[in-house]
Amino acid sequence: MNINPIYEREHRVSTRSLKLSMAILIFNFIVAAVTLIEMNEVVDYARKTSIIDYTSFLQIFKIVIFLPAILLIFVAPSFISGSISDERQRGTLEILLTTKMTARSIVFGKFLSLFASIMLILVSQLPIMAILFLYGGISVLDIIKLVINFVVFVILIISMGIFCSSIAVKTSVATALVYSTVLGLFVGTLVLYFLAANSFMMNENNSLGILFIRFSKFVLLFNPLVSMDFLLSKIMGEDSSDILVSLFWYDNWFYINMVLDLLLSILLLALSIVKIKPHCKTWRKYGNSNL
Amino acid sequence: MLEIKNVSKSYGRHTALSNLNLNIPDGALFGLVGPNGAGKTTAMKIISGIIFPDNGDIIFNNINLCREKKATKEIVGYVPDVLGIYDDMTVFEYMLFFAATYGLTGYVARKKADILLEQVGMTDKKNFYLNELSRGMQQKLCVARALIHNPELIIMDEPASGLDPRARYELKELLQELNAAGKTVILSSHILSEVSEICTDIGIIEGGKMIISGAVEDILAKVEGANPIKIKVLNNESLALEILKKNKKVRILSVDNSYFMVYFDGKKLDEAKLLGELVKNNILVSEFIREPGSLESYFIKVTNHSNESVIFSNEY
Repeated sequence: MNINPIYEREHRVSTRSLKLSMAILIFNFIVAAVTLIEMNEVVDYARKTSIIDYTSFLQIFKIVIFLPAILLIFVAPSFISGSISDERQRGTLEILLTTKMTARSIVFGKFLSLFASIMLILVSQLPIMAILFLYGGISVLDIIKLVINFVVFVILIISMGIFCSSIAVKTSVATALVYSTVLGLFVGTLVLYFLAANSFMMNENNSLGILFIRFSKFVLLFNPLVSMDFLLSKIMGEDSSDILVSLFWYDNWFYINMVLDLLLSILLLALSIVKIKPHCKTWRKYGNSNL
Repeated sequence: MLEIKNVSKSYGRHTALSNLNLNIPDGALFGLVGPNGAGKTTAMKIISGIIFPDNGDIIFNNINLCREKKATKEIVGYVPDVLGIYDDMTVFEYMLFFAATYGLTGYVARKKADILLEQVGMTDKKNFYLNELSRGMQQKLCVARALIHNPELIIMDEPASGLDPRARYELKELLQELNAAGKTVILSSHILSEVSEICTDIGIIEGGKMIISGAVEDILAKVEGANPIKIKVLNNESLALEILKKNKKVRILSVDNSYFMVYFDGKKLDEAKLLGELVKNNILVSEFIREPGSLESYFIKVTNHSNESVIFSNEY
């Protein structure tokens, strides 16, 4: 089986670079430090009061899950933003398009290598997360759902990054675009919801406010951090989260969010392929393109 | 034979190519010359299949390069004006990577990379990182890279740009080697002297249109033919002037004592006959010289350009 050459190249170069090693080191250091500090406090509290509160371990679990996700939001764009624009800037994209590589295989290779690098960072943290499994309370199904949620979250970040990189001429522009869109989706949608919720609480009869809060909830459906929050709330035995939705949505949010995010990722990757292909209008006219 | 038929390409309101027609014989070393913005790079990219024309077709040995993309990728080896190198790879890794993009892996790819690196004289640089190489070396590596799938047609956009004289000489030798191996090479340049030295055929492009194309000797002959003849006689100036005036192919430009500067619209044989007639009338002719012509002057003449956008010398 032939390995995608782009994937092979990127993988070889990234494992050789200091950037990935440093990212793994810093990620693990931060997560380990936070986990150990939090655990120390819980154990210390138990020692002093002779009361062991298992929910506090789950609270730490929540932190340990969210922390890498939040760190990724800030770190991943710097990995992804140059994926296509760097190739364009150094003139290699044109060369690649004259080889047997298709636009699809270029994007796929880029996606795969970024996915492997980011997952490597996340997987390296499993031993730290595993400490918390010692205290129990988390089912295998919960873990599977969280893993799926994380994978979809990573897929979405990479797809957004590749798309921004494919439309930007320069990597600096691509980086700004990726940060804006990633922060917009993961933080902006939450801010929008809380603004809508606040304005709704101030005046419950305002029809515009109702519309606003509905819209903000719809937008939140694309935010995988919300579904992660719902999953963790359920693990902790809570009936709701900070984001108030009906029971149906609370129970099915995870599935809807995963499907929507995957569809959005596929759409963004498809648009990236179209963007780097030679002139689309004429391509359609000629039809028989393998670029 | 590469046939470019009525190829047009516009970017918004700007027309880069307008009904470009050109025939390049098999095994030619063809130089596409024109000032900046003439449409050279667009033409090169269209032939390479990176961009599609709005109209027209490009046929290479009965294969339409605009429609049969799979075949185009096998036929064409492309070296862009921006070298397109990965600084973070070694020379050998770079070659293997591009071999893999053509489906060549393992022993076949390594062998092929070794042969090509030897061909361009870079075997000893195999384990060097690309950012450790000089521009000339990088250019040679790019040529080797473009040959990894053994293409029949090699497209090179401004290959000599930024090279020092030694690197340019080596590139010239490499191109001539490729040409001798039967490859059709098309290169673009805005340096006329360089193209006329290296290439067997040239085409002058201006405003997206092909102004003239053909074998370098033919074009040089045309250039020569368009230049005036300087005649110096040692006696009988008035008779000489009379003979020159009588000849319908002669147009007198200037007369300065015994010097005559004339345009002569005829073949070499007619030139010889004119000289013979002067001598037969006992006129002592000490000089009968065609003023040296150059592609540069011809280029300016045909494109109506000042020389500001075209570099004629080898100095950058």
